[in-house]
Amino acid sequence: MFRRTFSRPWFFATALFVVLLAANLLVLPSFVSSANIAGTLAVAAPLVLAAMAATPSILSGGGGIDISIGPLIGFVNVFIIGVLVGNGIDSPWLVIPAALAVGLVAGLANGVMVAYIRLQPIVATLGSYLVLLGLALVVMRQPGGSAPEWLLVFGSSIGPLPGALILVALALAGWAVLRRLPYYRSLIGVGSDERAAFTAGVNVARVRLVAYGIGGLVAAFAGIALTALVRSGDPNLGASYTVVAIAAVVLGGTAVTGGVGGMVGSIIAAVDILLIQQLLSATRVPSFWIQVAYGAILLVALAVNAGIRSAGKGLR
Amino acid sequence: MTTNPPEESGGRVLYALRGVSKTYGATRALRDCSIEIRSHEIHALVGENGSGKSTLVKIMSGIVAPDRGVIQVPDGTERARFKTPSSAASEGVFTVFQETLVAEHLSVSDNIWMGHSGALRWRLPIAQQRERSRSTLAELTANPPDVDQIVSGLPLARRQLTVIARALVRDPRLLILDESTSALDVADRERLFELLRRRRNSGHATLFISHRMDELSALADRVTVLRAGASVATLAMSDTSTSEVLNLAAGRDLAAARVRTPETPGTTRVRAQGVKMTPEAEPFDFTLKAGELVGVAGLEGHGQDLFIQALAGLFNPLAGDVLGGGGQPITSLRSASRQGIAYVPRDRKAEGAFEPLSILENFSMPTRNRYSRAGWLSNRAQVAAFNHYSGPLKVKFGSLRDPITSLSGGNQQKVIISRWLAANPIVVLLNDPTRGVDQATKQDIYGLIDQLCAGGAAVVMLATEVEELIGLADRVLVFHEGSPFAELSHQESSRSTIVSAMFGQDSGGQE
Repeated sequence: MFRRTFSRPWFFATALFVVLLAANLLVLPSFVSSANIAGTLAVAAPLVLAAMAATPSILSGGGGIDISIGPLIGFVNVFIIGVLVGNGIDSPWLVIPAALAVGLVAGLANGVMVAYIRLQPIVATLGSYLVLLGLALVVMRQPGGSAPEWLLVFGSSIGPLPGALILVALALAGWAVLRRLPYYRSLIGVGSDERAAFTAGVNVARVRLVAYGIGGLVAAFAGIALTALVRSGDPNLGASYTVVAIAAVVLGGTAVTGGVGGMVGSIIAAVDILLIQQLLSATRVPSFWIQVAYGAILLVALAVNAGIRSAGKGLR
Repeated sequence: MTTNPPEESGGRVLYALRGVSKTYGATRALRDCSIEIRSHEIHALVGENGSGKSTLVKIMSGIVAPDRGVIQVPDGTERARFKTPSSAASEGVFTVFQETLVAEHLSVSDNIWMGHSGALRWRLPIAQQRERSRSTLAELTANPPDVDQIVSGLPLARRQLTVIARALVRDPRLLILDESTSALDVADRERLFELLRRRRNSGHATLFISHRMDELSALADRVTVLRAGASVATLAMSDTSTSEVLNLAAGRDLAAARVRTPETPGTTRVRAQGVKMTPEAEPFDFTLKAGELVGVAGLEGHGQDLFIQALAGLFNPLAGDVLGGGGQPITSLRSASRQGIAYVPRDRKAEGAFEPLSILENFSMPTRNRYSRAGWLSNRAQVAAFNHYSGPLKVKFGSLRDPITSLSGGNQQKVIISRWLAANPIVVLLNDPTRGVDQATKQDIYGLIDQLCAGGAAVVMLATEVEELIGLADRVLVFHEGSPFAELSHQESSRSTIVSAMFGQDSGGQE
């Protein structure tokens, strides 16, 4: 039983989570106090959702990756503030669907380039990375505007419930539903061996298209969470999420070769990254060391996860 | 040359290919090929490497579109092609390929039902899927794998059962088995054949491709023979014999590609003792002497490729040793080349040519320290060496500074061969050296091999095309299931003896 657990893709991220949580509690006992929790989660939500958004494309294999996730999050942010709210459209019934539609369309566009035009995923999404970064600046030259009142609940609390948790829970629920659909098995099949999936009758291109679409949709959730956190629009905020999100996916045990892993591992790993950040700032380590720590932990995670996978092969 | 099948076997025509042609670049894989597959029959497909078997299978499975010709489906209508494997499946055709194509990270049952449902709704509830997987596997083997087990932990034989079960649960009207039983043990194979016979009795068709003639003659009702991309004949198994089928597959002996007079063998250059290429294969010995030219043949994947790689130190045999002329073991490409063994790989693009580099750089790559003076590469020495070694091969090029990709495939191959000759090897291993090159280049390469042997070098040459070995080789090792099935002398080797041995038959009979 232990060996089985050990061979799970998310094992390393979870073990790290336990260690980091203990370390944080030791250094900074107050950080789980109920007064703080909503704020902490509001900071966590965009990153957690970004990591979730980066997962399906990597899972779909064939060198799949969507590096435009970060700029897409940023673009959704300025789209809400600059385009919608800036022009007087601030009803949640319009803003939320419009934001999700932007995410979905951007994700599907990546999916078309990768699955149908067959561009290299990293190059295709580098293209959309730059396009979205540019478009964000077209929409909004500099930070400004303000988020509508209703949106701010995603950064604070609804009664006892931290608002940020709602977005994460919604995305996670969507993933849970997806995992029960035939689509999920096809996704893992395509990620494991696209020729096997294709000859078995799977529509490989469509499976990949949908994977990128899901990523875009979840990125829109992240964009909403980011808007709630910063309460305004900022065209320069999104891009930095790409690197951390992909780091979290890998740390969470999703194989960059596809077919192994999932969103839960990415969530745990994203939380790990935030706990590292918090621990280092609480112990007054200069902030540039945070980057070094990310990188080091990512490399360790890659090695450990690769080891877990090959060990898992032997014993299963 | 009957295309009218005998009355007693099979029922009505279910599927047919009519006048199908397919060309890949310069290779004509199928030319005006026709085959009819009937209900109530197991139909064997026989042909040597490059006869078009796999292209035919790919067309029937929706992987490749034919250039010309039509596919007839059971309702009598015709299709220009099956667009995808999924559309072939909806037309009632499902294929188990030679390669064991599994999704490693899915369970056995999920592998079996992969691609069966759409995206949102299960065509069959999961509980029933698992049940059907379990019962199908139980039919196939006495000791079935757990249907919830993740495939990555399963050995090859179990994976093969999984992909066969994938086809069987679809209950296709035409099941294609393309050499997809090789990993099964005898008992499981018997169970499968029993299952195929039951399918036949219920009116379904099976197209069966195997390298074992004994299996084919025991199982098949009819056999279609392919040769050089064309369907040569369809015969009732009861009216024919394995030797007739193999003679048809081999065809008449063409004029040998080139005839050379064997040299008197000299001292031993390479010795293999008790080597085993695959887990099930028989261990065997092999000795190569100076001045000898040994041909190596076999159907794709029967160990001949591993054998020539083992001589080159690229593959370590599962048992036994390969020793150089001096008695030192050959365990790596490095130890092989230290003992004067040069290896010309098969896949020129992947293993041979350094694509962005020039012709001259490609030539001098492995031997470059020989042309350096005080750390500087001497251009003049390189050019002189290039002219010396490539001269006999008549390489046509613009400038030696041009990238190697500016040459035709045949000329690229010549540069690569002369690269290894520049190392003055005493043993030259050629892995399908004339693959994809034109006739004139082939003749130049044969001429070179001739010269090498006359100069005392020992040569081992693997050839996919049987013609090349006839007349040229002093002896031909024909591999079947991992070890040499026959060793044919210069006089014995003909198309029919070689092709028969590829299929594990002693002799193709005399014509």
